[in-house]
Amino acid sequence: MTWWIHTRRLALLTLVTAGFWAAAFTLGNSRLPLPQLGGATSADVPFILFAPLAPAIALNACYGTPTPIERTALRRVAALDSLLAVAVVAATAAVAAPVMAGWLSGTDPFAAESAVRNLALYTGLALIGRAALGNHASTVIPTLLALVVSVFGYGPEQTAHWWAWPAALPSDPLSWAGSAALLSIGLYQTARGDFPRR
Amino acid sequence: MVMFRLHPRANAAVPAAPVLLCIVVLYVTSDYVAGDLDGYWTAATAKAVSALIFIAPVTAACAAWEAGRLRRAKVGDGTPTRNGWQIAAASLAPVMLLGFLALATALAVVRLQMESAPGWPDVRIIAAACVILCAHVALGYAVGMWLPAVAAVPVVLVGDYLWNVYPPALEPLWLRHLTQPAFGCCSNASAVYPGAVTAPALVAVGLAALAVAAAAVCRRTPRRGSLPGSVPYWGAALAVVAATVTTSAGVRLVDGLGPDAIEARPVSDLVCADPRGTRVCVWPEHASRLTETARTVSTAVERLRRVGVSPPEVVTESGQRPGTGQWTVTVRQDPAFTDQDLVTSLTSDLTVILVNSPHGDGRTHCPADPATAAQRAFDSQDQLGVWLSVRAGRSQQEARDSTDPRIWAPVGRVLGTSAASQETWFQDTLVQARCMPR
Repeated sequence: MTWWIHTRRLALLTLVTAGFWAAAFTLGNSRLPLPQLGGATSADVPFILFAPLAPAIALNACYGTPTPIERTALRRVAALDSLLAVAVVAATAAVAAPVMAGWLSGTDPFAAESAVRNLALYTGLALIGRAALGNHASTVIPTLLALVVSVFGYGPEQTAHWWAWPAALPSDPLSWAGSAALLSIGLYQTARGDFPRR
Repeated sequence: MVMFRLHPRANAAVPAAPVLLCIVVLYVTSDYVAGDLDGYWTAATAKAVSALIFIAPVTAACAAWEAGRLRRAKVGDGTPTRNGWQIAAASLAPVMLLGFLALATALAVVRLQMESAPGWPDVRIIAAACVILCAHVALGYAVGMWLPAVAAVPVVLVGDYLWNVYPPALEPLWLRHLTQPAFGCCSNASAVYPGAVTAPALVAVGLAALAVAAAAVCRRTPRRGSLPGSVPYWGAALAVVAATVTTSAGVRLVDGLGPDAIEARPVSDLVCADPRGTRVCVWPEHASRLTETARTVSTAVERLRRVGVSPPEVVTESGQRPGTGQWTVTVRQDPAFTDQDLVTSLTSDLTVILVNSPHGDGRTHCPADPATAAQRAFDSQDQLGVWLSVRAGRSQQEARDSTDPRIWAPVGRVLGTSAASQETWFQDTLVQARCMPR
């Protein structure tokens, strides 16, 4: 366990995640006017579209490339990796809960809810990317999704397209269901690392 | 000796190329770029190189990925036979080629959307874009040397994209001129402000210096032999000084600019014809319509002379020094821009000239209430513009269809009266239009 904690660089992950919380809850509702090619003449893209990439990237960076020795470990290293991803998302949800419930004034619930949903989505995609493309290219998938949504994700009414989940309103159930599904798939793909290879 | 051994199939630029080229083509065919090209190469070049907002991040991310491959291969830990520049060049040459290909594609697609385009693309803007591209690739390489690819590629992709697209949303306005050459350039009547081409290139040179220094001091960077102990520190200090100097110089060049990097286009560019006493001048990209424009304008000037408007010496597309002796006209390459549009543009500019021209009537006839005076002046100016356009040759039907019924009603009435009544109405309405509070 000590080696797992050491190789997963939990201190770095904690630092980046805490920085993300601070940025999300202070700047989360600020908007960037970005060029649009998806039908909108102009759209102000919320900062919270990009911010959750930071912990998702940090998570995969902290995993590193699995070393062959982990294949012979007695502990379920891949399951621990999955739990680590769940912990990052769950901790963010716990921190955002008072804001989402309206107990804290001065912070926008939109940013808090979007932060949790988008972090789940990006983490899920990064984990799927890790299983499909390897660790080095894993973070390209959520990054490309964020960029594609920021450029093509808004329609003529300046509202997000149905598929642009990171830009959707927090009240959109499809974006929550899709993000949760992708996170679940990513967690399962990661945990499968403990299964014997055929 | 083999200087380079390129492996294009293994380079990140190859899978990135189709995606980047598709996005560039989509962007340059969108309304952001293709909306108003009108055959003016300087404007078209500026709009084509604005595709750097996509080209620079993608090529920088490819460079970061290639640096990551060298890092993972631990080339720097071995004993390379080539120096660091050659190793980096072998990895980055396909990435640079992708960047230049994407820029060339943007220019080619922009050219395809112009009816005709006399002259050539603006070499200064293209050169600045190439410098910026090289700097971003160097920056991606440096970040890729310091961070693992899993972090470097997304950081470079998102960070570089925001670096390119976010400054236009920030104050002061001149910040946008430090990241993109010829930002906001240009309508046909304006030329690019040279400082706004040089400034982003200077900032890019500073960034490149920092990137080279950062890559050089990284212990993972492949190099032949090892650097003497003090060289990294001197190199880093030199890079910081270079970046400070180039950025300061860039800021000095653009800190007086507004949102657009433009200045007045030289009048010497105009192409002129002198058919029937009135000299008519258009920009070179509209030279193919000069004869048609001169004929329409001469006819309109003659018609307006008959209702008491003194003819000008010259009618020109240049907006500089408009006055009673120089009227302005707007011309477009688009065949849908007809003679009627020419007349409308001529009379709308003429109306403003007439209303603003010096006169000795004073403001004795104007309403005392400024709001009433302004409303009446606006209405009178609009009515005057419509009446002048019809008298200059625009069809009544088209004028009625494209005018607010409230404005058209008095104009329609007066157009049915005698020439003397119309001239009296013209003078009275002009006096009311001059009641605009100053």
